[in-house]
This record gives sequence, C-alpha cells and structure tokens, in this order.
Amino acid sequence: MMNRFDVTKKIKNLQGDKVLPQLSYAAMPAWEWQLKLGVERLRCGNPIPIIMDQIYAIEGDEPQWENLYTILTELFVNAMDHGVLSLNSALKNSAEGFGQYFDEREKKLNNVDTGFVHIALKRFNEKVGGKILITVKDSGPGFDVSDVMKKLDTMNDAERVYSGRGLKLVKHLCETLEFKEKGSLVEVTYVWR
Amino acid sequence: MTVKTNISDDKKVLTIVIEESFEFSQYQIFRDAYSEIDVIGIKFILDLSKAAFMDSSALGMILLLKDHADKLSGELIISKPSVMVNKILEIAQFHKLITIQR
Repeated sequence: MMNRFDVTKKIKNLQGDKVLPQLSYAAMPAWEWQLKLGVERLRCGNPIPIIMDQIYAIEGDEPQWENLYTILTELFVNAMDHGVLSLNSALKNSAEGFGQYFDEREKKLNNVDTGFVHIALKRFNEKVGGKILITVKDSGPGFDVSDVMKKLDTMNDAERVYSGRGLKLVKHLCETLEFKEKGSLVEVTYVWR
Repeated sequence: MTVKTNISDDKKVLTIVIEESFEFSQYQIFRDAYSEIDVIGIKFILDLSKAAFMDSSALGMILLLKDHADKLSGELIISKPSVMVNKILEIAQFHKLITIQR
C-alpha cells in the first residue's frame, strides 16, 4: 500500500531533485465528519444511527457500512460505559452480575452530569475500495491498556465468558486498532476493497 | 426492538423471536422471556431471522440463555440468523458452542 511519503518520493523522482511544495492528494481525506456529544444528549441513547444516516447520505447504500455500524457501536458503547460512566466489565462475568451491570448503567446514566464522547471519521479513497479512520475519544481517565490488549490477544473465542467480545469484534473487522491517551482515545482503521 | 415468544402446545419448545436489533438495551425483556421457564429438557429456539443487527452484549445474552437451557438439561438452537447477525456469530465462533440453523 502506498502512503503519503511514497507518493512524495515518487513525485520528487519525476521532477529530479525539485521537491513539490504541496503534499500528495493521497493523504487528503475525501471527507471528514465529527460529532461531539455532551451528557444531556448521551442520556438520550445511542447516536450511531444518526452517524450512519449521514454516511448513507454522503456515500449511498454500500455493503461495507454493515461492518462500520458494528465497529462504531462497539467503540461508542465502550467509550460510554467505561469512559463516561466508569462501569466495570468484570461485573458481567457472572449471570447475576450481567443484569446488575445494566441496572447500574441505567442508574449512572440518569445521574451523570459531566462528560462527553467525541467521534471523528475521515474517509480516504484507495486504489481499490476505501478506508475510514475512526477516532473515538471519551472524557474518562482511561484504563490499563496493556492489560486489556493482553486479554484481547489471549481470549479464547469458544470460552463461555459473557463479556469482552466487543473489542474482539472491532479488532477482527479493522485493519488497525490503537489506544492513545491512556485508553481514553481509540483509533481504528476500517478498510474495504 | 421487540421480543416475541411462543410456547408449543406440549410446552416443550419455546421460540423467542427478536425483531429489528438485538442489543444491550433489551437485556431485561430478553431475560424475562425465558427466566420463568423450568421445564426439564426444554428446547429453546432463538429466531434471529428478523434481527437486522446484533451487538456484543447480545452475544453475552445468548450465552446466558444457553446456560439456562443447560441447567434444565435442554437445548438451544439459533434459527436463521440474518447475514449480518450470522457474521457476528461467526466472528465470535458461536458455532462451536451452539447449534446454528441457517
């Protein structure tokens, strides 16, 4: 795959030693879109259908948006539950705890008075297909990223645990997955051909 | 979303139909659909043909239903998942745990 630097180098070679003043167009997104929601709106529920409506409006109905819906939903729920609401997934490990988790979520959602989730998308054209860079930032303090990544790598799919499958889905569907800012920011790239 | 249930005349088969999307917000309704059932050897059919979308919490919810079925020495069958839902079941490798009828 060609990145912006390869393209710049190519241009440079074509033009002898002369470096062109502008960077290649390949690095420029076809479009960018972002949404930052404060707690009042977050309380009203999942905003991903709104984002998908926008994408359908810009791009039309394409099969790759099904995966994107899953990726955005899982990343949003993580940002919301663990970032804004500080819920602990460990609760979901028992049958009783699983229900308790959602009761607590409801309670915390009604009482939370600060916080945000910021979702940003950059869509790039590729030679074949395309790519979307998705960034989700939440107002939470982050988490132990190395611990979560280790669990993600060692998790046995056939194991009958009730939680921890969201990130696994995202990892499976995305080309890259990276946590930044102590885990309060996640960046993934979704590529289709 | 909607959860509809239908129990067979002989009380041995409970069909749970999920419509639209299958996600965490339906946890309580989903649980209520089966938690009172205590028929030994019951067969649960989880009909996902009308579920257009499923999130990772729904995977946990399916496992809870599977545990309930096992407790009653019964079985759980996932019936006709839509294309998108089936993809998620496949990624989670649920076919190793549960019978999925296409």
